[in-house]
Amino acid sequence: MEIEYAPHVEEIKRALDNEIDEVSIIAELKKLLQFRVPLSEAKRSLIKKYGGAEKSIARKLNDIKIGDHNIEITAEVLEVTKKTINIKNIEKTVFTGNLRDETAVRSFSAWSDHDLKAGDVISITQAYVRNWQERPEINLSPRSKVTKLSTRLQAPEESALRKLSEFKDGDINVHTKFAILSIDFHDINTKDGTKKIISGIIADEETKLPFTSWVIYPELAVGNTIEIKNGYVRSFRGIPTLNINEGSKIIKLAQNIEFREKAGSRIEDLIEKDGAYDIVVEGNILSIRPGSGLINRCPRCSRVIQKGMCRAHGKVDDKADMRIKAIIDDGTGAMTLVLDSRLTQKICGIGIEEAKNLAKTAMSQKAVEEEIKRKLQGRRFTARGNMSKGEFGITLVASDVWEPLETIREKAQEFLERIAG
Amino acid sequence: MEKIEKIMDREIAWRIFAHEFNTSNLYISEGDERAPNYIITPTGVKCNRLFIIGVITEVENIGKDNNLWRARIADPTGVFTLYAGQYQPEAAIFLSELEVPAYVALVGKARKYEPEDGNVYLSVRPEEINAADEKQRDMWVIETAERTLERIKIMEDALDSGLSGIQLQEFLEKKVKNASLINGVVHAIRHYKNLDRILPELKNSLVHAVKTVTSESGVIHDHPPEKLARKPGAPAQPVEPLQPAQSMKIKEHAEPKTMDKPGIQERSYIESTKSMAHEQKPVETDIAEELEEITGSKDLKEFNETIDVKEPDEVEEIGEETDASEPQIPLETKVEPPKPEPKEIIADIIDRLDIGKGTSFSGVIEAAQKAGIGSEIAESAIKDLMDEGRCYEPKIGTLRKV
Repeated sequence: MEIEYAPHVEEIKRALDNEIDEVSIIAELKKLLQFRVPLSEAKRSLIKKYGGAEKSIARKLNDIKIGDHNIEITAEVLEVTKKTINIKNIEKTVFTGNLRDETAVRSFSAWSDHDLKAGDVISITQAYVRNWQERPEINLSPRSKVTKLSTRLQAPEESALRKLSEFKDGDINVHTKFAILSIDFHDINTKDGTKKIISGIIADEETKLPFTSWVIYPELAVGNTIEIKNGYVRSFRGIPTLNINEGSKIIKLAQNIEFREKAGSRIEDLIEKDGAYDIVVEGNILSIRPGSGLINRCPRCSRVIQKGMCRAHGKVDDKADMRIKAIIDDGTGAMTLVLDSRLTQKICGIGIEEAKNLAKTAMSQKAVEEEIKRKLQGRRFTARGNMSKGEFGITLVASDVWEPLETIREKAQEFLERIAG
Repeated sequence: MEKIEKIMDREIAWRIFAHEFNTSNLYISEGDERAPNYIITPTGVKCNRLFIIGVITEVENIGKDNNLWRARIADPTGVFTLYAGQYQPEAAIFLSELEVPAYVALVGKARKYEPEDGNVYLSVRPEEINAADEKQRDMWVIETAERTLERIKIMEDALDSGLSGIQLQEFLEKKVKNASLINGVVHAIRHYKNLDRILPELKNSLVHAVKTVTSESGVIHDHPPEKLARKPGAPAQPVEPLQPAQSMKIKEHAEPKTMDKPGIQERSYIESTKSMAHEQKPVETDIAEELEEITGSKDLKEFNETIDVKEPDEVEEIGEETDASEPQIPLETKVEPPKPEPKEIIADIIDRLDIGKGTSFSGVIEAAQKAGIGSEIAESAIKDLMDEGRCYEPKIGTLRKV
């Protein structure tokens, strides 16, 4: 019996720095097990009782999963920004940024300073992993210990050249070539005050993506063709985003890269990805989902509200708006298509005032949804927008939508040639 | 590396022609009773949801209380049968108000109805239905042809590989993205033994379908002239054959109700029962239940037993339609009497049977049956008579003349 427990007792002793004698540990462990408490819970509660901390389990960033707790991470801080947020009228400061080890890059957040600076290589114990926009994020707990290491992470070996379409959240050491389509300068807050960063849109031959550069490289100008080594990929609002920082190497190329937009993507190709920027799909509207049509929003936070009550702001004067949440399906896959009031009006011909009248006449807001359904269900549309994956499935937020050109004869001809050949 | 089907993602609505749908005779269900049931088609579609734009050629109310509707929705290759009952109120209302022929866009789920006689009928239960137009239908035909051709190519590759089971799955994972299609192809390869015949037949039906929508008249001239396309102007009639040699097969597949004929029909029937015996768990029989619930009537059942009718109403009814063009079928199931007649015959029957205290509902149906009127037609005739105030139902199951 005792031999069976021996490794667990050893583990508990170690966690308690050998300060508690073995006999009492065995006795208490046995007692808990007689109560049929699972072994892991028995160990945990014993360690807690004697004020010890379970040893954090070392994890690589690529292996962390939402729900992991008490893990140890050794990583380099890529950036830290400082934000003030308001929780229940109490101002709190949160430090967020990105961490990178030799396997992946992940975001982190901490409720205290820990004196983190970009470039620091640190070891964090007692961290846990939380779901942030459907992706794992390292969180520092109040018990977390942060130790700065004097070593630098090994400079990564140069990796193979990749296409923008292959980028996934968390990818590190990416090496790619692209043209810069647009740029924009932003100020962000850090501990040492504000800092300028660049964001914008890049493209290779077939894919457009957003990028963020944490350093103002002069090469990053519209029209330039750039080769980058050692960049990394973070998902922002569900879209993979190329990040460039001090560790990245930027080379301006003489060649030109010309982006050629595909006529339309197959939905089955898109849904394999984490997210996609400014893509076009063509499919049938199969269903108009509840919550489409005339809706009311809180004037302060734009949340959809009912009966003039906002979850955050209480009684407010609601603002009428329109939207459509539809299922678009092209026979290879399906996703949710979201249209705002402008696009709703464009394809349904119903403006907000008309919608209000419709609802008034029918004495039901539902009437608008039914009218939209009657106008759209089963019809074929082309939509452009950004695709992301989240809690509510795969969503395409449209920036434009239109009826595709009638090309029945051409398509028929093409089909008959294909099937004959 | 196995691809995992995510529950969160919305299930795709497959594009399948009626011909392929009706040729299918493999059914699987996964997990517990609430898990969806799938029909595996010969191109490996593991079909639950499907999207159809076609022409409704016929709508019938087949329930006593106006709450079970059957419709036929035609594409250029065949006909889907559609049932909308009390749990699809929107679709039922839509169908009840529809003037045929009419173009419709339909999202629905594949259903299997398996009455006790061992036959299996495939139908579609609507989720969403809406009016459509000719262009939408034409576009659907082309898209469905394209998707089907892609699947045929996958099936051909799978057959050429000579692999099966896990190896086939691994082979397919390299070229096919949809995990459900991979699974369906593996099932289809194992089950359908005559793919070397089915696949070319399907390809022919694709060519036919695409030519139909691009021709001026809807008549395809490279086929014998009687092969009308299902344009709305054309009368609702049985599916037109593609080529003489295949016409019967296709028709029989498309109309699985004509089970009493020899040849491929019987074979597919045997296959389907076999596959059911081996692979089937209890399947959803909601239509059957609805039918039973609506006809309500033990009466009808008893009646069926007593007068030795071999087929349930369902079968007989569809048999009538199909048989109109097939003289070899015995007369009594074939002739649909001219419109005003059933009602008058029924009125006569009630008149004859009601000797003062009324007569039983089932007795009237029975007598009607002997006079060559199907029980559904008889029922609707009785309803008409009641509506016209010529007879009434003093208590459930009893009819009296006025």
